[in-house]
Amino acid sequence: MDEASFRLFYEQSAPRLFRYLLRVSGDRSLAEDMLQEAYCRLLSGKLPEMNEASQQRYLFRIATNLMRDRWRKRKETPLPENFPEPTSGPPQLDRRMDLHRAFRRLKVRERQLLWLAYVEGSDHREIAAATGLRYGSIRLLLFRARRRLADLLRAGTSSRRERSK
Amino acid sequence: MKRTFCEQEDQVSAAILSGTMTPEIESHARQCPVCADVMLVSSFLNQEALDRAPIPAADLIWKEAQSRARQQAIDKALRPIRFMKIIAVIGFLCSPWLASLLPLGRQFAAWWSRTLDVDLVSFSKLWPSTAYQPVILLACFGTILLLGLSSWYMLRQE
Repeated sequence: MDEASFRLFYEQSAPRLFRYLLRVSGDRSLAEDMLQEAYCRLLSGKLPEMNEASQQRYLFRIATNLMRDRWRKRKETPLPENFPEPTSGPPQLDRRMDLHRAFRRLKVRERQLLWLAYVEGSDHREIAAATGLRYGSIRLLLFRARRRLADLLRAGTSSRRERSK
Repeated sequence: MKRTFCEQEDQVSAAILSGTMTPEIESHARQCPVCADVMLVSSFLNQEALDRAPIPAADLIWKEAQSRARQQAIDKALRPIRFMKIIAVIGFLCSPWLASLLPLGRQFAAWWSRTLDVDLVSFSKLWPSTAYQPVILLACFGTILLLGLSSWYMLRQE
């Protein structure tokens, strides 16, 4: 890949990949590091000829593995269920914070699954390839992650209503 | 038993993703608990995805990748040299011992000891004479093996 084609590919793929890394990791500098690492690995890897869509899937796979490796090293745990709720703030900001907090309470693997399925629109086979999980277990894992986030989002909405009363 | 799957959940998430929610899909999502979760989670995540976070410049990443590729190429090019250096050091360390065991080596050792005034032949006194033959065979086999391995490694690198 020459510099011009890399620039074009980067402009098309980097915003999506960066949003994925940023939202799942919740850490901007870490997301930037992983973005750089993912592209460097893509460029230095001896890959067979593949189209742009396959290259993007491969990038997401590298990024997913990088996140898993970093999380193993950092031993970061998701926010606990009884994490103290904020007491005041503008309603719109409050809502946003609640949503962020709900997402951060999930495990990294759950965040990855949900993002790949509902933002990237990946099917179960693509999710299995990106995460290294078994194809047959994706449906159940996705269901559990979705149920957990939905419960957290609903709980956040009801507690916000109570606070505003 | 709780339902974990609905046939229409893919349609619901696809409709949210593409922004083409029809009244039928919406009314189904309101009634079906699985699709209600899909709609809630998918709407939230897609709202999150609307944020346009600034990304690092492509130049930086391209330069970093180029610099890494150069470093990797240098490391790869130097690997056979490093390997041969190790072989050379082992060969050098073993050479007095081998020289003292072989008949030709003993002649050389005698010549060197006369020239340098060093008693190199006394090395051979460390081993009993009956042990010479298997030791020589073993040394020859080891040398051939090392040469073979290094040649194979060099060929593989090329």
